[in-house]
Amino acid sequence: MNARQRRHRLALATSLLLGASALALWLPAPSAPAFGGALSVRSFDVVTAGDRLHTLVLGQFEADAVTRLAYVEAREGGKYWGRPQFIDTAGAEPISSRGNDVQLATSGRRRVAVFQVKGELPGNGPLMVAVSDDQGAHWHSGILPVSGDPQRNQAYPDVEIDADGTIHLVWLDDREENGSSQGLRAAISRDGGQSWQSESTVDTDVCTCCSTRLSRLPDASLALLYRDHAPKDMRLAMNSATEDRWQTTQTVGAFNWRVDACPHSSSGITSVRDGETVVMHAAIWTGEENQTGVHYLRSNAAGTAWPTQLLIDGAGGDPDIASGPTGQLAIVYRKGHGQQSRIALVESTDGGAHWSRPQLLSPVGQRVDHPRVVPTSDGFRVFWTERAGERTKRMASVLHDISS
Amino acid sequence: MRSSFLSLLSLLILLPGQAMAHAILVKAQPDKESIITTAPKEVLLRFNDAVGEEFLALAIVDDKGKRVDAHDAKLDFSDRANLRASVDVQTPGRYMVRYRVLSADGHVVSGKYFFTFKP
Repeated sequence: MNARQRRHRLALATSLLLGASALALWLPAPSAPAFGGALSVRSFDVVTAGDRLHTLVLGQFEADAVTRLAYVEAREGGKYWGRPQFIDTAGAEPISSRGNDVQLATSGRRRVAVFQVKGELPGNGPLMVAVSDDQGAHWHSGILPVSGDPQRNQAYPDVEIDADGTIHLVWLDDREENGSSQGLRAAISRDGGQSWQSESTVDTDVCTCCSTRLSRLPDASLALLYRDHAPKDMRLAMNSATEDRWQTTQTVGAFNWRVDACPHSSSGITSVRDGETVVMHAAIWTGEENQTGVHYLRSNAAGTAWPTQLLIDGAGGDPDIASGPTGQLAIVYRKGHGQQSRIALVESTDGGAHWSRPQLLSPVGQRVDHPRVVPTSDGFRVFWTERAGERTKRMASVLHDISS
Repeated sequence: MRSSFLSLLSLLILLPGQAMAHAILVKAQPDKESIITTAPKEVLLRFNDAVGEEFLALAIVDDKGKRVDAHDAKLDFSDRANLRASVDVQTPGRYMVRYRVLSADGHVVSGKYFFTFKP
């Protein structure tokens, strides 16, 4: 290498270093959501309505050493947080594990929280539903009266609310005692959780330890994304707005992944209206050989076909996806594992045809988990948990400006 | 087999500490819904990972509801993914195997299946 080449390399290295420093300065720093001092977060859910964020947090708060469930609302896309409203669980102890997380839904003034509570055996217990009809100020809760499950062990729930206040609930239970798989169940309540009807089985044989994901489509129908038992690929069930009946449709990503283990990885689904068509976007994970990683899929046909499929990151897991105010898409996921794990975000401004390079949102050296993304008027608000000591997890958040 | 192994490997790498934590029954002797002609001396269940002693249960019941196992359910000392119990199956008929184990993730997992003895 001659002197001129050395100078050129030095200049290039300096430029890259300065560029990286500028990027680091320019990226918004993540911060803990500023509400009532949650000391340790075991589980959370976040949903958005306009520019308000609604959060359900299971954790320890400054005011109390015991684990409690709190509802917290934020304004202006998460800039200003209200006080936590603690939910009285009538002595029952909420339990959670990654995937089997606490769940929240909102519509109008109604808020509904669903979570598993401790039963007789470790890791087992019934679901509890808490409802507020005054925007989370006061809550009433009760055990979900599941009629067909004598074991009283339900988990991996999700919940949605119609515009008329009807609550849709889905969960897994093993009333058939299969042991290695569970049934995907559904029920609705038209009276604010006082009673539940139409208890049904959506799919008799699904992954025993995998999360379910309900999503409201622009035409008011419901999409339910879940993981099959064998193969352990994702599947979709639909419930039309006109008739309350679940119908399973297609595999979302036919990897034919066969494994006798528990892939706790989450998945995400969102949808946007494109003229007369509802376009669905999903972010999923598979462990299938040569295809491992986070994948993006798109359906223009109400979930009956998913012809667009792209590998987003072979080193990613636990994806979530959201659509922004003008159709932008963002996928967040955990890249890597352990101390090397980071929260990454990719975005698309052309309906999922092309995606940006991953942008790493969390700092180096944190053990991160539970990535979630919700839209705000400015872009996307991303949440996750990170280790703060051996056992404690704290919640972190960052606003990703869509214009950036 | 190779594909399944690599799938497990990718799970372990990408989802460490989670993938193998939940007990899943991967093999049973006699097998689920099998019809056997020779009376078994024991029932052997193999899980995807080691399970704990606490809450352990394995019962084999004939079609009249009578237990035919020797109430001696135990994990193999050298491989705690194996759960076995001695049985005394003499009468032709349908038998139910019911089990309960404690997963490494702290969840108690229970299940049942049937086999038929038709000599």
